[in-house]
Amino acid sequence: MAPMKLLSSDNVEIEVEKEVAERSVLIKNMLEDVGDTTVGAPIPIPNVNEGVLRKVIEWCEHHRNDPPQPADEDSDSRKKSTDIEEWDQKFMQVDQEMLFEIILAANYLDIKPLLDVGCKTVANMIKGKSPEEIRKTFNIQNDFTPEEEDQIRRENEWAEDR
Amino acid sequence: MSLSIKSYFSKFLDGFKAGQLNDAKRERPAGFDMGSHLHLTNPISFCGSPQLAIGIKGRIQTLHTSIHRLKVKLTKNLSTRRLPAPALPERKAALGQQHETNRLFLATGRAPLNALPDALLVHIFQQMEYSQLPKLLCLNKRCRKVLLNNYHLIMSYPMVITSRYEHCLLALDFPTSWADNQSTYFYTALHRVIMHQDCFLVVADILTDEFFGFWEVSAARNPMLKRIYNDMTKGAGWEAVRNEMLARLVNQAWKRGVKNERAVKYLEWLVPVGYEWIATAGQRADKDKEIDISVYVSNSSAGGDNNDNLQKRRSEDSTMVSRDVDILRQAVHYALDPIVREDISYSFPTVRLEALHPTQILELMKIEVAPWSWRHEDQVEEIKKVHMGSFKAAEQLDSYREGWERMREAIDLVLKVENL
Repeated sequence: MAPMKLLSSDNVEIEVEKEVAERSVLIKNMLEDVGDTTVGAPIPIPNVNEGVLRKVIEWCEHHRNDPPQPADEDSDSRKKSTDIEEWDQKFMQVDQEMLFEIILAANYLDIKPLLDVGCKTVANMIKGKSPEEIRKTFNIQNDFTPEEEDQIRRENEWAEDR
Repeated sequence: MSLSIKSYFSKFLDGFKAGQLNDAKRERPAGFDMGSHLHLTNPISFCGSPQLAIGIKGRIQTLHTSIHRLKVKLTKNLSTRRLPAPALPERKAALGQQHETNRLFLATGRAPLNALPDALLVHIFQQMEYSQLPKLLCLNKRCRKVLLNNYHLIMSYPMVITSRYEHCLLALDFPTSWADNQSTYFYTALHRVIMHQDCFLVVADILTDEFFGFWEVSAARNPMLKRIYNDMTKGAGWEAVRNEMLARLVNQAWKRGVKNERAVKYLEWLVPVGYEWIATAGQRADKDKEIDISVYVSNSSAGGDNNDNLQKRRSEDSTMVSRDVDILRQAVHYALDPIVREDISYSFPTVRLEALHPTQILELMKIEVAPWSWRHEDQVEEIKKVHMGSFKAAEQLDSYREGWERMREAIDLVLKVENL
């Protein structure tokens, strides 16, 4: 398979096999549009820096032979399963900044399986935590007043597990 | 016991207003609208200086335009697969614009989760179980807004849950050990009845638990309901309310025209201290009623053969117990509004109400109306998902139905044993 080059936002060229790069629907469509006219020229990926791009490529390399996902999966259907395969779990053991960068990159490059894995990882981080713990984990500022918070707590009382 | 409590129970047990009660339980009162209070649902109105208002408006408009552009791009990005690919120059321009957006995003230095676009937040929420969602409402205003915008029913799930039960035949928890251990029964209530032959007392307990369960939770959530609750109970405790429930049940039994001497004695024994008037009034009012409770007794007895020696050999005590059950069944059926009964039938389509013990009917009613948890929602979703899926799913549902059948057989068996 012919190699091709991707240009990260910090102007680093990364060589990657076409088959691997085409895990990204964005790149795949772009290559289809361009055809052979720009052979050898790097494809700019201005939203993703070198570190994140290398990480994304690593994921694509590992999943290069995965079967394609069903074409039109119902976006409203709840996946529920937060099971992540072992390799992906290890892959996602990165700091939060990198994790969210990967999610953003997966969204931007349109790599849905990677996006799912990233979101599942975040969902697992939220699972079983109290709102206060979630805030602490993700450094989220509580912008409710104490009165509002109290009211919300009472609103949600019924939903708490019995 | 205050008059208002009595009137509440009258409505509940007399049957005429039970439908309204049920509706009232379902309809969560409007109360305090947190969404509008936090300006999550209504646009902010500009008061004070017009210049300031115009200035702020201008800024907000610019912000809205940027957000709109970002949204359009994100939407495009998420649905690239379905859209025809745009021309390369357009794409390059879009890439450039997104680059700017991303840099803005990184420059804000906000918490990463909070800085994710709405579409990605929703994607994360979609990976979570329903039971995990409500707590996210109180993370911060943004998460709350995104959740409310995307999960319109999140604040009103208890209202819609009954319609979802049709997919969840086993909304009640049955111990898995049942199949191996015949002495363990599906229903706690049934177990309680076996332990305590005084069905009326058990039912009064259930109704009281239900009453407090419903009203205490509602009163905590809504000031208006709290006022109603306080007016109604006037500080009456659990015991007093239980006595009232019991008295009303006995009253219903009187109204059914109890004629059997033992049953009358039994009911008289049940009447709590201070409620003697119920027994007297009931007897006076219903002296001429034609309904013969023995009809129901014979209907529910095993085999129904009047010449059966076994029946003749029934001890007086066991006869009394079986009649308690039948009296109670009639009382409960009479006390339940037809709408409530229909609702239960609808929610549990494979259950034949007449096959259930009266306490079980009340358990069903109780489980359906009040103590619902998010776990049920997940169970429902799981079953729906499986049901949609395959032949195996259909098999699974069949096995659930079989479970219900086995449960009914077990109930019949217990009732037969009681009748003997």
